[in-house]
Amino acid sequence: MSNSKKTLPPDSINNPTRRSFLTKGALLATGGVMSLTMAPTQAAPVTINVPETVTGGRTRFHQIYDVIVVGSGFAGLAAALEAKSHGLSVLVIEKMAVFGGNSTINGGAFAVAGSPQQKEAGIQDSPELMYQDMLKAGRGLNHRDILHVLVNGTQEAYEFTLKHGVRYKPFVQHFGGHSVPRTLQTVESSGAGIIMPMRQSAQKLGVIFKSRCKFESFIQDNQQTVVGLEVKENYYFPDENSGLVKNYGARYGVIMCSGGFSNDLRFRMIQDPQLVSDLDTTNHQGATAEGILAMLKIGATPVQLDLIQLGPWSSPDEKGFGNVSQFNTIAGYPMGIMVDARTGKRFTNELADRKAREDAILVQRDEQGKPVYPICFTNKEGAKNAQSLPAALKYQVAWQFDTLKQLADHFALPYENLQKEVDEYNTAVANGSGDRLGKDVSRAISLAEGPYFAVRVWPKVHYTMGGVQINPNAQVLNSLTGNPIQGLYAAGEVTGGPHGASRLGSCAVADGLVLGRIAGAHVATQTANPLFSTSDSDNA
Amino acid sequence: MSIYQRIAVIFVALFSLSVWAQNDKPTADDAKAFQQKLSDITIKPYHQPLAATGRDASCQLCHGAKTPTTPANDSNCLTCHGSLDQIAAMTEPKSKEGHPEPNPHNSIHYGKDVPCSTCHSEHKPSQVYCNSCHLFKYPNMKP
Repeated sequence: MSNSKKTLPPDSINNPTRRSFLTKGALLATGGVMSLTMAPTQAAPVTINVPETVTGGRTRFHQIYDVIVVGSGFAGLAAALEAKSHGLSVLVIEKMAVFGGNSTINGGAFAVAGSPQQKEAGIQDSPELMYQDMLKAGRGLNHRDILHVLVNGTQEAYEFTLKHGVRYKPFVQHFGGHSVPRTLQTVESSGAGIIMPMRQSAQKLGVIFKSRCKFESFIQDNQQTVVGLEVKENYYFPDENSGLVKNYGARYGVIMCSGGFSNDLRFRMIQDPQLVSDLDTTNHQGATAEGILAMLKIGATPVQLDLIQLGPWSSPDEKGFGNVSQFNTIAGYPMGIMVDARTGKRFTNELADRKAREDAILVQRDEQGKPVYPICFTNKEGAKNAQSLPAALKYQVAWQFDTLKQLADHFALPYENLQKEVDEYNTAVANGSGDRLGKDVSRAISLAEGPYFAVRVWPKVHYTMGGVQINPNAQVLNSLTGNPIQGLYAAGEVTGGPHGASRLGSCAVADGLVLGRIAGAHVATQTANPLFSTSDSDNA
Repeated sequence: MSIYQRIAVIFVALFSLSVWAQNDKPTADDAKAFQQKLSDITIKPYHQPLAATGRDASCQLCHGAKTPTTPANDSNCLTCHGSLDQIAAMTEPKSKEGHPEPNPHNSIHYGKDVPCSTCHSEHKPSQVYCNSCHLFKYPNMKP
């Protein structure tokens, strides 16, 4: 590492004017003094003449890497690990104080077509079947090329996570909308079970992580190639006045894994005006739109931004994803029933895909339009795998009853209706089929025996299906030409296409891991940008 | 001294001169106002004994030599409070019975990686980051 500053000769075509040169020179020079006081571990910044179209002229790069990944969720970590395994120097930036974004707070449920757990349970599955399920849930709006890539990559992505220390429960779960049980879940019941070991693994391999480092904008050359980023270091979310602006160069490319925008009230309401502020979200606070907006600004193609999914299993009695959501997906919906709080009658197939269920729940309103929260319940046998139930009971967002009568009285449900409904359901369960609402009851249980566990249900904004368009190499495509924007990749929730109108549960983890890996592998096939060829290999 | 450093020094000098030229000289009132501002900053009761050391007014005890425009660096917190492992050990639930609140300093989602200032604030109310999604109760956390 050398401390001498490298300055490329001024570009004869884009020669900066005297005035702008002076201003920039002043900034550069004062910055130079500051850099002397910086920690000695900091690499020497280099000033490079980027023949830019956007900001023009000489650009001072404080750090240069081969690949910069924006976001530290499933897609970001998969991309970083993959790029690193191809020998590239990789930086992952995260604007929040903590790593993992939404991925680390999610349920850690991963749809894998053809897992060993399925084989053990005698379940026949294939990428083709998963493709059909996702196409059906997506109402045919799915981008089929990306969908193919996704379903074909789940098994390999599963192996990849095992290699990096992820551990799964020994059984496979049946999530709504899937035609067979194909969902694996981490033993932690959280995406943290994937994020933590993958990040530790990445750190061991030499991937550099910076938290409180916010992506601001792209730096492009005059060919529109993305050559780096402007970021804010020491950024304290959500204080936009915090942070120090720095430029990072990326020799091979930038991979945007910045997630969805469920918690960006302004942008989500522009796309779907029904998603007003009194609808909570399951997402972490940082799930905002600036990443996607920056890509659109440099020409990326928007895909289906108004397709925003609500989680149909959450509770109005707690914030965020909470404890009830997992109870419902593991116990309440597959092993129990959900009834209208006024009539005690079921009104939807509890294992229908998310869109069908959210639509059915959201019309449960009184004359004033106020929500009438449906009740979902199962019995002790049905709840035996629901790890979050003790916590839900403790915080009084779930309740236990010895009899159906007690349950009905607590929620002021008409008891006779409820008993009749349960009896009818039990008959279908005993027959293994023939449910009035078309639920697959072949793995369901009878609800004749108490005690019962019940929760209230109301959907929350959960996932933004839309995003930027990518090709099967995870390259972001320009809206005018349809060609890749050179140097720019994207993966995970910030992209649109594979899920269409409605994402199936546990397919987001698959999406992030599979496409993230593809982005990281493809960026490694590129050649280093010659712009940086004279600079020290300083940060690896 | 390289040419760049020389230019830098000149520019710094010019910049400083122009700042002085535009402003009146600091007065006794300004100093008073500054002192007032400092004494208005909340210092939480449990940190007030540190005032006895006579070092608090400089802000350096927590913020180090930097001008305190951002929260204190974790390392300065840890100077007094011990290592991350020690802090995690202190808040580890004594027993797993009765579904105790999870350890905020060694969590499922973030392990021991959460910066102190994510939850703890000195000059404004502290808040538990976990509770953006959960309903945990940490009665021993100082507000």
